[in-house]
Amino acid sequence: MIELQHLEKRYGDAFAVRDLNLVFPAGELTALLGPSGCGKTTTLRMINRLIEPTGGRVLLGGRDTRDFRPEELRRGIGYVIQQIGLFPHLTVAQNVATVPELLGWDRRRTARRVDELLELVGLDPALYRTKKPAELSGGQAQRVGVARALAADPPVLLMDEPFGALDPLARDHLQEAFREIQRRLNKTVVLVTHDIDEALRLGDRIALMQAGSLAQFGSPDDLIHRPAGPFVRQFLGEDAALRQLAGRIAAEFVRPGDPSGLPVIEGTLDARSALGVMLREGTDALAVKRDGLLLGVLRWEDLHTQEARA
Amino acid sequence: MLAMLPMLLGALLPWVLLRPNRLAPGTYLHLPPALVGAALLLAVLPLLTARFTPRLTWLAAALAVVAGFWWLGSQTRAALLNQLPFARASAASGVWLFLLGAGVAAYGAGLLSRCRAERWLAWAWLPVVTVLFLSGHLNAWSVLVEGRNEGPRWVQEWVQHLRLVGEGLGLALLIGAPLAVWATGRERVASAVLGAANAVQTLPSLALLGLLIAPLAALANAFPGLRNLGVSGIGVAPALTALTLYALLPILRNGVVALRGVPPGVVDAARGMGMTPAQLFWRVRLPLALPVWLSGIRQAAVLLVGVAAVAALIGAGGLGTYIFKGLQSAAADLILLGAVPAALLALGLDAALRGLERLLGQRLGSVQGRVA
Repeated sequence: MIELQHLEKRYGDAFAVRDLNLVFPAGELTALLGPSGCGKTTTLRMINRLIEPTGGRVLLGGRDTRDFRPEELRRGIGYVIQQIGLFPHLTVAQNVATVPELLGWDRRRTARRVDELLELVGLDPALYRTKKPAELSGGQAQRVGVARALAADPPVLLMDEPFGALDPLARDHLQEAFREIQRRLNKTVVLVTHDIDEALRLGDRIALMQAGSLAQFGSPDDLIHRPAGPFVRQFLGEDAALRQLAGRIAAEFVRPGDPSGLPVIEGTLDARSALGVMLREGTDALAVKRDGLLLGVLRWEDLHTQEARA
Repeated sequence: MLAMLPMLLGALLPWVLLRPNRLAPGTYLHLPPALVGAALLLAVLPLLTARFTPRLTWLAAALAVVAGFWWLGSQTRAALLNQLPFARASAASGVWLFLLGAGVAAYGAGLLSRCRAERWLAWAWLPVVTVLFLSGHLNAWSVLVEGRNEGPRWVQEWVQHLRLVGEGLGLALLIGAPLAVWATGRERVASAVLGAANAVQTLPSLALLGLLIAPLAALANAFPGLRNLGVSGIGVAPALTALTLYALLPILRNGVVALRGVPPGVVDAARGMGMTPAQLFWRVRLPLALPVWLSGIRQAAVLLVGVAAVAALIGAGGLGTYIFKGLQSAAADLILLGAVPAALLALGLDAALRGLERLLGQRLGSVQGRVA
């Protein structure tokens, strides 16, 4: 659990972050969302003290981060950035081994851990261990970036626009892969993004920031259906509910029922497209199948109420 | 081909200049007619092979280079027969033109090559010519005669030259490397330091040496202890000071550029993972900056070989001694005795450091390369 108490960063007379109070729940992914210049990256970097706050404090697992040496603190926190920042002179394996090496792990344990992590991020260790960063595509490089951040198994992961520099296809794949990883590891993740779709898709919670302050903190459903003010509604956009549906697949909303006579869709279709099919067919229910088997029925009300069983 | 013309001309021009002693005017001797024919043939050969069997061009070029040196040896020896020991037989315009053309042909053969092994073949003449030198075949050539007369002194000046370059470079690294690291990221320091180094670089080397004489002499007079350490207005102390100052700019400039070229994302990631400033420097900044930095050190080394030659003027010794001695007495052979080794030294240092750069660039992934 990470707790921000009256956190403040001031440059001269200008506040980058002002009296920010926020709790990032343990084991959940919180998206730190907001327009550029709202202070989200500053906030993130104050957590691992790459930026020192001018006021307030950060508690990590109940302890003030100032009780640690900054380097010691950072070795216990995973860090992933948009520029990826792999060390170009080191191999993939050496890159992933960075923090274990700083922590003085023995060679065997490190090597085992490196293979385990490459496996986890979907890169065949035998194939990628000895490659240099320049030989990787952007998507592969950021997979290595994620593996490197997770190397010493830190409970907390800070991510600054981690998928921002990737092409849309690679971003899609990597977001999906990361969601899987997070489902298995349950790290406490803070993910800075200005991409609403990304926040809706990956965030268990969203902290929306505006001009250095918190505009709203809550689940994606909270922000969409119970916006705390006009800024939140405007920032998410009138089609926020549709965006959220776009990040889910039809099978997630299926319930048992009688599918006879209904138009049939594939369970892997995203929920927004399923809604489109309903509009086109003039119906409020669809039969959903997967691999030729009928899964059940997808109803309009279920999409509407949004409380998906993800 | 460009190489043919100088070679043809060279074959027809006088080959040897024979003088009764090293200063007197002499007579020009041509190659004997049979050898002129052979030389003309060798001049055309690289062109023909390049046209019809490009893979053998290296052989034709190497033959020409070796023949040029061989005939230089045999003709100088023949010219000195029945002459007094003070007589000198030096290479005349023909030899130089012929060798220039042959060298161009060999270089061209290297460009024609399609693989690494063939590029090496273009240097096939080098070991053969080295053997010619070592076997004494060229001993009658005036430059080598002078060299033999100088003997151990010449070797000493070589060593002195190398020491001047090595110590100047070493001192400049000791001062410049920490200074470059310190200046990186400090805009004001960087511009002040680079400005000062630039100013030194602008001074002509002779002027700088002259300027150093007065303050160093004063220093030596004021503190006799320093004089015992070898500090004085002329000699090694001002030379070493000047060399160090000259080497400083390339080392500083490339150091700052290289260290600034390290991608900020890489530095941010390294800090974010908990590297201490020292770890960040030794594990990330320095390895990434090294290839570019090294090219600055190479420039400095090559520069110093040249400036060290000038340092002979203020009594620091080195190969420059021969160049200036030769200039004063209008003895071209003496000039060559200093100039050729100095040139070879510069080329050799350049090649060696370039190789090191490439090796490091591959191992470390250079800064300019694509950085993921």
